[in-house]
Amino acid sequence: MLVILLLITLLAPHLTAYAPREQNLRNRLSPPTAEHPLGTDMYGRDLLSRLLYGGRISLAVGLLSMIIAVVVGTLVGALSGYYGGWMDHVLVRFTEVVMAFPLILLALTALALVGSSVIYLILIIGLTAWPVTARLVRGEFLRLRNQDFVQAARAVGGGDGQIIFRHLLPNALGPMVVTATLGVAGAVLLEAALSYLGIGVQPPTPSWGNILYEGQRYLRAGAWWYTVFPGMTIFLTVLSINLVGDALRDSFDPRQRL
Amino acid sequence: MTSYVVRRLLSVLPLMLGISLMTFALMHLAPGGPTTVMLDPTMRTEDLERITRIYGLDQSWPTQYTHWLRRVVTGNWGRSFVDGRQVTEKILERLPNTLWLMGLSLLVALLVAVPLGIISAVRQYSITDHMATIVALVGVSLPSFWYGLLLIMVFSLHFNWFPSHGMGTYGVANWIDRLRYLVLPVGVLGLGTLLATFTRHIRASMLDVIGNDYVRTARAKGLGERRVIYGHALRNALMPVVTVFGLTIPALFGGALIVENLFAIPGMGRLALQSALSRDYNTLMAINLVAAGLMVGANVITDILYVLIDPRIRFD
Repeated sequence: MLVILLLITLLAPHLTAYAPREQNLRNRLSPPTAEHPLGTDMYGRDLLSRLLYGGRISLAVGLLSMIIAVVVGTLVGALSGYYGGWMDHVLVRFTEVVMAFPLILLALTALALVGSSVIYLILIIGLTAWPVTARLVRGEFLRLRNQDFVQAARAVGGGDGQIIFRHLLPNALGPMVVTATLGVAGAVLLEAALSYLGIGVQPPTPSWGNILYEGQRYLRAGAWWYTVFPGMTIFLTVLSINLVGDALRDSFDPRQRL
Repeated sequence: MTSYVVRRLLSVLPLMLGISLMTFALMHLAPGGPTTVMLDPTMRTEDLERITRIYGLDQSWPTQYTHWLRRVVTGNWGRSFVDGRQVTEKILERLPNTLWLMGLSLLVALLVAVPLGIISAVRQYSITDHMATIVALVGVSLPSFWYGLLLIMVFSLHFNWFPSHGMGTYGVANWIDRLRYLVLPVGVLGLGTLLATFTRHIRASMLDVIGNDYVRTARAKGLGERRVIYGHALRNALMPVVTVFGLTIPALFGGALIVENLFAIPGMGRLALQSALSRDYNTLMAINLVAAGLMVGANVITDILYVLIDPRIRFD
């Protein structure tokens, strides 16, 4: 499902006959027809092609921001779990401070400060969503730090960097992959929410969130497809990413169900 | 006990200090500093310098921070850049709406999640259990704004049962009317992600408890299933759930932000978006502080509650 989704957004130009910004004012707000399977929007643009192209943005924001979050989170978690002491103390406090703020409020504030653009959006979501990974990596490192194989590596003269990257990180990878996968789902939702609120990806660039933002204004006029389809796309995408995450968790740790 | 409470309250200080530092840093992260928003293209350089001096922006960071912190602690949070009103006043008039929304949603979520979690744990792999799993999965994947729009489509536009936006008439006169306005927002906030999170936790912790020796003992001495579950297992199962409470507050606030904007409820979340769109930094910073403070407060309360209900825990 997820693979199909990625494929169809990548192959978007071959799947739809319409460009996402091609307007046709004579065919505004048309319900789904054979020509436009998901209907058209307020400027007569084909909704299907807008959703396909919007998917590129939404998925790219989700993936890239999660990569940033995982890198930052791993760095913070590894430093704090491996070295302990005052460094751990300071970093844990810092993580707690960041976690005290509602994610969406923090992102909203940062976007208001620097302005809305896709690049900023990726950076901001990445730089606010890392605490989950940091806490996880720290926990894993604390658990592994004093195990025999780590002691052995240290005894034969392994340096800090070598122990962290060759011995500790690979052992923490399982839960990290799970968290990162579920994190992508969260990032896609956050991007959609911010764009829905009108402060994320700015039109005319399509994203699932801002299509919904436009669509809701025509709900009263009866243009149900304009709201139903973009939201359904977000929902099914996030659902399938979460399903993959759950499946990964089950395969890494069969004891933890649900 | 008293000493624990005192120590727990004191441990909040460094956290609050960190939160204030982060808020301050955010404000000064803006390219060009906080004055750029107030910039008027027609402004003369002398005026800009004067403003910079009045707001103390020509001083060093640490000096600015201590000045700002002193003002925040003494309750002087500055004025809104947009309408010049006191920020505290703006927030206080909106806070109750947000707290009502959050509180009612928590209540509704718990009312559904507790029985659902218990049943799905007691009858593991039954139809109810599978349904709970689906509810949990759908709940975390459902974009709340879309879910809300669908509810509006069905219940306000099609059936015309509930109003689609607003908060109803102001004042205490008409409670029923106000509740009618809250049905859909609370439905979105309470019966979405929140319900999913609680159901997951209650089910997991109930499954944990059921496997314990004392539950088997209770069964062995011939107690009825009801007494075993509600008398022995439930109280122990709900304890870990209390800790989740404080942790859900930021997410709940974030959810309220979306829901308030969707249903046009004049709460803090709506104020946050309006301030963000009009780059009203003073108000935005204050909302951040209040939101983070709410989370810290909720965590302190849950920690203290936890010690009260679980006599095994002692912090010495």
